[in-house]
Amino acid sequence: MFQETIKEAGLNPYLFQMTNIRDQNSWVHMHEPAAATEKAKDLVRMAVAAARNLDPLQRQKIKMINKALVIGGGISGLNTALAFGEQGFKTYLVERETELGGYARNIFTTIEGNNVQKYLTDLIEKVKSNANIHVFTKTMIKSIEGYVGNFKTTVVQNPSGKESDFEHGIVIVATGSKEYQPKEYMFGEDPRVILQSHFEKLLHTDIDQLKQKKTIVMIQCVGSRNEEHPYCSRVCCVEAIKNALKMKETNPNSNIIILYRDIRTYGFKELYYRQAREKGVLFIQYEKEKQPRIEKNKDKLRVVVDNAKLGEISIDTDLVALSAGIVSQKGNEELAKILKVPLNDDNFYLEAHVKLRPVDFATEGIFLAGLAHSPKLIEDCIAQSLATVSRACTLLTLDTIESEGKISFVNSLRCTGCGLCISVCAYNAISINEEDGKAYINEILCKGCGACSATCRCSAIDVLGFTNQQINNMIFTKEY
Amino acid sequence: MTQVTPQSDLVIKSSDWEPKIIAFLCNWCSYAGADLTGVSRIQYPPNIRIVRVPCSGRISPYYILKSLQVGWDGLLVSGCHPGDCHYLTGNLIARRRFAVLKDLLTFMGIEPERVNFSWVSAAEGERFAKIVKKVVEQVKKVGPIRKMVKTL
Ligand SMILES: Cc1cc2nc3c(=O)[nH]c(=O)nc-3n(C[C@H](O)[C@H](O)[C@H](O)COP(=O)(O)OP(=O)(O)OC[C@H]3O[C@@H](n4cnc5c(N)ncnc54)[C@H](O)[C@@H]3O)c2cc1C
Ligand code: SF4
Ligand code: SF4
Ligand code: SF4
Repeated sequence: MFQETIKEAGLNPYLFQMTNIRDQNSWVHMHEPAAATEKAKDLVRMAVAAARNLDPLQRQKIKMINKALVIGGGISGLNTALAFGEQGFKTYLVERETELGGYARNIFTTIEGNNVQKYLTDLIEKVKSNANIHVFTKTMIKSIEGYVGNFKTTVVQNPSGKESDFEHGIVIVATGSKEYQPKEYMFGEDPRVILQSHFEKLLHTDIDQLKQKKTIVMIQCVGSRNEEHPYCSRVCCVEAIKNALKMKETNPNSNIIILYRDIRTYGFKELYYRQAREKGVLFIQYEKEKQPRIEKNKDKLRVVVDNAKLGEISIDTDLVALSAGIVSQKGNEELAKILKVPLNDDNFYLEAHVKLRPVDFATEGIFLAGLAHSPKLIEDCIAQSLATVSRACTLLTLDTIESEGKISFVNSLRCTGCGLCISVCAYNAISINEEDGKAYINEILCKGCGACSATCRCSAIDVLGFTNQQINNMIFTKEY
Repeated sequence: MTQVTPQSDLVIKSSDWEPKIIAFLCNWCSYAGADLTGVSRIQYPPNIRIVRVPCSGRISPYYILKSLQVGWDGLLVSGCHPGDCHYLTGNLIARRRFAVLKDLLTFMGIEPERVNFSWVSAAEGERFAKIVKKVVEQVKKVGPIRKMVKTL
């Protein structure tokens, strides 16, 4: 407010220093007027000391290229690209496989009964026919240079090796993840042990074969919530119950037994869990330390499960469906390095802040959506994709972007190029200039936090608006 | 007032000695928290002098040493709660830096009571007042700073 007034008066708005005598003095020392007056004098003295070294600051303006790059052509990438395209933004969608669609090509219905394949075909059709969207398939990212507003990307097409370059202002990471391939439960050794996704496929394409199966055992948390993958994959309980209900619908006399650790049909999906129990699907709990075993028993498979209350139970079964979890995508490390964005301990992409910036990366202009971020159902991926589009549009709709006025700068005479400042900058704003070996701060990316300045052993970095000189002046008022 | 006799560094304290404490508050959380203390009219001792900084990560060990050297009796550095930093990780960097610095100060003979770090969010006016009270009491107990202050 004060700064606006200064600006209207035709002065540089940064020629302003405030001291807070009301909120931080008179209101908090209401019964000690003498001491409060002393404090007020000190505070004014400190503010004057800082004001002595105020500088007029300028905000840097750079142009914004109003185009988007979306990496990954699964449901999340397709939805983001389509939303950009429909709003008139030129969009490059880069998919490394031959086909668009991602993992959803293996899913037939949602638990609510929506037809995923039809949805996906329509979505792909809309994306392909949108004039603003340029789709690359069988294409890998080779390099991404630049920063928010001004990225330049090179992609390589397989197998031709043909390279293309384009410029864009923002990046969306929607590279998804993949299904865990079990090493446990005789998977791959016995054809009657299959993945839950395979079971879903049979339900929708080869129902006659399944009709002959009298007993089906499903095992939950395969490759999830263990030492290797400590997280819950979120989709597999819903998936198992979805398939159990479908199986019961086709053959009400089939025995379906789900061996679980906890059932995580979160939200209103809980109703389907109840429905499954009502329809006679059996749920038997096992503990992490006591995994079920599978043995061969003549022409059947025998599953042995240890339940805390019932003891050991043996089930002879015709088919075992493993609810394999979700694991991070191959190639995340390389892409994370190209973009200079972080991965979490489980190799999923890490957002800037869980609550405050849930779809942004810390680096400005780069966003994420879908399974690349964490396991989630299709509906959550769509919602997150649209959130990402909204965030990205706050930048894409601009003609120019402005830097903060109060940013840091390097005094290259003092800089030794040690790189310590780079490691503390959360915004990837600092790089070492290859020519002179000195640190260089990107004015657009820098937020002026000052972490680099406090870290530099050579005192080579200063923060405009909060300079070393100003803070020193304030500290030294004690001597007066 | 405090008098230091030149021969020994024996301190004569008169009963009305009041410490002066410099407080570095981050712009986004603690400074706003201190404002809220005022808006809520919560009272605390008038011994602190506030310096606004962008982030607790802005505070280099130099400022802390310098403050003690020029005669501030105590200091408080306060930032956002872990995980709430406006600049994502600035407060965590600050925490690591200060853990090391505090060991060094103790080694140098500076009473640990003088050097204080805390987290105060923009919504914690009450907490800010409590922390100031605690810091002022602690510094009062250890008396005026003399270890690093140049005296003639
Ligand atoms: C085992 C399993 C079971 C599931 N069951 C259900 C269910 O029952 N119900 C439900 O609603 N949801 C389910 N889901 C979740 C659902 O699949 C996803 O929510 C949905 O497919 C959204 O995916 P996405 O676009 O984020 O990622 P993906 O579908 O994984 O798409 C990512 C795309 O990016 C491409 N890609 C990756 N890296 C690169 C790169 N470096 N460069 C270029 N392209 C790249 C990939 O080839 C892929 O096409 C399940 C998921 C899994 C893994
Ligand atoms: S969703 Fe269910 S099966 Fe999947 S990891 Fe979580 S608890 Fe286990
Ligand atoms: S920490 Fe200082 S000396 Fe080291 S690279 Fe950064 S600016 Fe240069
Ligand atoms: S002030 Fe903060 S954002 Fe700017 S370069 Fe330094 S560490 Fe990075």
